[in-house]
Amino acid sequence: MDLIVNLPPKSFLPLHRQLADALCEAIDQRRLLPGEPMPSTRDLAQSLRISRSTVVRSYEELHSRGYLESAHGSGTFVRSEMSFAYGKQTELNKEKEKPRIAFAVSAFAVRLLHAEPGQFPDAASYSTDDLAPVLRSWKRLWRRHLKNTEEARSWAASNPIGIESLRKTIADFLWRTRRIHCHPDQVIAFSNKQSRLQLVCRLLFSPGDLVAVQDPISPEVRQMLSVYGARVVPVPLDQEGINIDHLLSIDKPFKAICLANDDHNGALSREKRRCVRDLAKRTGAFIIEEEAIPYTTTGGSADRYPLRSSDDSDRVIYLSAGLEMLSPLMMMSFLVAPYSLQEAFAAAKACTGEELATIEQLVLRDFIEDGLLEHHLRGLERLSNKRRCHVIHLVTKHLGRRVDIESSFGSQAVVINLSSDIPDSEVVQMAQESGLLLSALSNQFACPAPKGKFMLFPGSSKDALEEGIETWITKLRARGLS
Amino acid sequence: MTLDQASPYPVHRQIAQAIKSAVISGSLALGQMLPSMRRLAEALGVSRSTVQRAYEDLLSQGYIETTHGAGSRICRARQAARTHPLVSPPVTQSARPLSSYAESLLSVVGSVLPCVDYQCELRRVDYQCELCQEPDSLVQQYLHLLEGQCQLSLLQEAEKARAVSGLNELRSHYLSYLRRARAVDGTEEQVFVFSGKREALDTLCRILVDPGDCVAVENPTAPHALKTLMLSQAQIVPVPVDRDGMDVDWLTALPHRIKVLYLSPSCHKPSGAVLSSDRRRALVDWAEKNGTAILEDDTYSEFTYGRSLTPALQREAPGGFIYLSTLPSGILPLAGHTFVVVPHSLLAVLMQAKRLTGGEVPLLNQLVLTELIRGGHFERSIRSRRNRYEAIRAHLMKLLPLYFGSKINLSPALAGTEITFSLTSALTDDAVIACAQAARLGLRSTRSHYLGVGKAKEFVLSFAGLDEHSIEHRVRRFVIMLNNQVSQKSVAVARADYQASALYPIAALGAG
Repeated sequence: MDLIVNLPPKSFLPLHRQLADALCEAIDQRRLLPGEPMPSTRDLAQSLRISRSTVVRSYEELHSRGYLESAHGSGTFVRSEMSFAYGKQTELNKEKEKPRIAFAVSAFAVRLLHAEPGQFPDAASYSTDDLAPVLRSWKRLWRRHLKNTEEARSWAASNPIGIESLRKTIADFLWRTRRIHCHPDQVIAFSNKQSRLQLVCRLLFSPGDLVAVQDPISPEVRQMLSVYGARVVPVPLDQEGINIDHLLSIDKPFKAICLANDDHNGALSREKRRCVRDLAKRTGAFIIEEEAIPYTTTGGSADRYPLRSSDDSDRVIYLSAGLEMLSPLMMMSFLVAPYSLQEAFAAAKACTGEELATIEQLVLRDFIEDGLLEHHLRGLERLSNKRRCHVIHLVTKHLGRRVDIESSFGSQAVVINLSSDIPDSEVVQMAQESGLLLSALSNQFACPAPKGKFMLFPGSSKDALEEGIETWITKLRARGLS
Repeated sequence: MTLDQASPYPVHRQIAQAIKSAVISGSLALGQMLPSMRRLAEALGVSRSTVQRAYEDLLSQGYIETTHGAGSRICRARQAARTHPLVSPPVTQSARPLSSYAESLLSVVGSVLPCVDYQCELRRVDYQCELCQEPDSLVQQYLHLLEGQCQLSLLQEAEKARAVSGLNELRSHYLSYLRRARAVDGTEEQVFVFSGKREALDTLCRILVDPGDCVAVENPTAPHALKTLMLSQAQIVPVPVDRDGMDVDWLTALPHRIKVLYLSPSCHKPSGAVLSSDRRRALVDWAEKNGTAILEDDTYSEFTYGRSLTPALQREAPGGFIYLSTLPSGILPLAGHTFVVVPHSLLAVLMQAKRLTGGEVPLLNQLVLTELIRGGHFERSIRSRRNRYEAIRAHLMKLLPLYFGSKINLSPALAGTEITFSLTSALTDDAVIACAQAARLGLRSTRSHYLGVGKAKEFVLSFAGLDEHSIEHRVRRFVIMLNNQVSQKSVAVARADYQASALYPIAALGAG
């Protein structure tokens, strides 16, 4: 235990008195709190390079001044009740801080303060309970790398965009599951989802740039764009994805097109993909494609694959579905950069990026290599299908024709269309009171938001869900829903 | 197919691997039926679910296909085997310019800071001397705590307690350590946890500095900090450093209005100088008068080798300081985590910055780190490292002058894990570094620490990865290599000249 004490350089007092005074000062300044243990006399003597008997003597003096108390056999502690003189110093410190003028903050900080308050945490879509099956193997992998640290040590000054073998594993994984063909150097690892999106925005947008954004999109994306000063042009969706005519009718040059590949919005048709790609090629705009849901199997038609899988324009920045279902074990996420931007991303990571823990990367690599990730995802998919069926069953049972449910494949949430005249915010609040994870889709829209559309996350416990839905519906009825 | 019981890989992976290699070698033809799961399970003496697992993996990797009711067969059009293109496609015209940030980034990368060569960093790892490694006991402790913390109930609890700035418990435990060991002043809410120094520094710069503002730094300073500060598009004012730390008189005489000052008073990088007490006082007064925000980087101050530790500067005027402390680097996921203590006036904006643009430190790491600090293992490992480094440093401070005599000029190295020295030598910097690498010493030029040109023949030796017994051997080898290099260079020089100019009196030393 280290304690820093302030011994005056020149003093006529004996050393043990000086030390006692310094320790009193430390306690007065609340650097050692009442009830906290004091460092052992041996440690203190060693770190100050003085003899132990001097330290013992000054401790005795503190005892007699009433600063310390001893518990037999467990060491010396700062006395837990101290009334005298104590605390004077803290007030003094407060005084010290007051008169200073607040620093002028940057323009960026001002934009930050004006952004709508974000929700945090936002990972409500996955429940920690579902991690139960992976905990054991997760621990095993950690043991593998901590018992034998050779590999970790060989990587220790690690590459800021991620360890090479992990990026290769991810590149393979993306090929297997999403048919994305990329070089491992194009895969950039981030320690979490937010820092990934923020780096993309930071590299692409200067204040005032135009961005065409599909509407609806998750509020985080819109928020991040506004923090970076980009101006959002919302582009509505139709049955086959983004509305191309609307996109083509934007007359000012825009810097990027922001697409979200989530399930309740329907996949882009082949024709539209070609249009978007051509547009990007012609105008030089980047395409930011974000996937919301991790897919496991390669089943399904080519429409289900992301735009990036058939990309030949080198303009797509593909933000792969996060591994949020592993949170809070791990929060890493990845993007696939176009060749032309690979260097910029790598340099930005090297200069300003967050550090990635070596062992954690090795653990994740082995987790994927051993097939555990895909196994877990399959398990989750089965589970969420079951849960979704259950939700649909419950909601239709209670609400019948008042409600319309949009089918969604692979997604965690169920989209509910509720026809009523209760304001959305009230419906959401009632759901929250009943312990349901419900959010209104309207906060994903920039312009005229459709009313009465909600996303319901089933959560992990069947009983809690049943009970929640029942209370919720009772509340809705009480509010006037027939 | 045979299974290897001693293999480190799980059985299902072995099965999948065997089938994969059979496909690749051609012994299983495309389209060929696979045995049913039950038959294979019986034949191998494993459970059916294991085989099922292997088949599912193969299925999702595209090696086999399954028809309902008809069993599994090897995929006819197998797409799984593929190679990554190693050459980039022709670079398309960069039609749209990137952001002004990206442009300054790319210009910085190319010209001013050659050290951003991130791939080069990778190759340098073969000598471990660069690193400050954790003792094995800490790694074992970490594993032990991780196994304890990796439990559903604990994770659920942590999930509920999640906070932008870090888990409350972690922050309060670390703060009480800082308060005690570094005399830092503050309350829990003022502490933020970042997963790395670069990220912390970058976030702080962005909320404080507008393009064009003046930012003062010590010259030389830590290269990564220099990079980050330069990227804020600020005007960088380099302040010289001598044996007593930053030259505060020079700084106070400046006409500029300095918005932010970045310095490490307790452990200057790379020289290891500590700011003298007169200068500390002068600096605090100056900052107070000018309204300059001081970023105090207190990293590696745990490793101070003087008579007594100097407390953090932040205590002198808590309202004007932003205090940063980074955990020593190494391989554990806690290495590099940075704790920042900010004054109250910046709380709201930093909170928002972290929420919107920054990330969160993985919860599991936070949980383990909390336990590590609470249990005292963290401090114990710091202490044992300090003792080790101290011994190594003392040894080196003795050895280097002994071998190099008046040709070497050592920095004070009162703190940190590095020694800086300038060397009089006929060789180029690169040749000297190559010799050191061959002798397995982690030597770098200090150029990347300087803003602008930097000094020639000045080097940093990091000693954290060395062990006491091999130091002498390595230094001696280094000297021999240098001598060889010099002699090779001077083949053309007359023999008499060579003997007169022999750089290092190695023979004399050997005799002694």
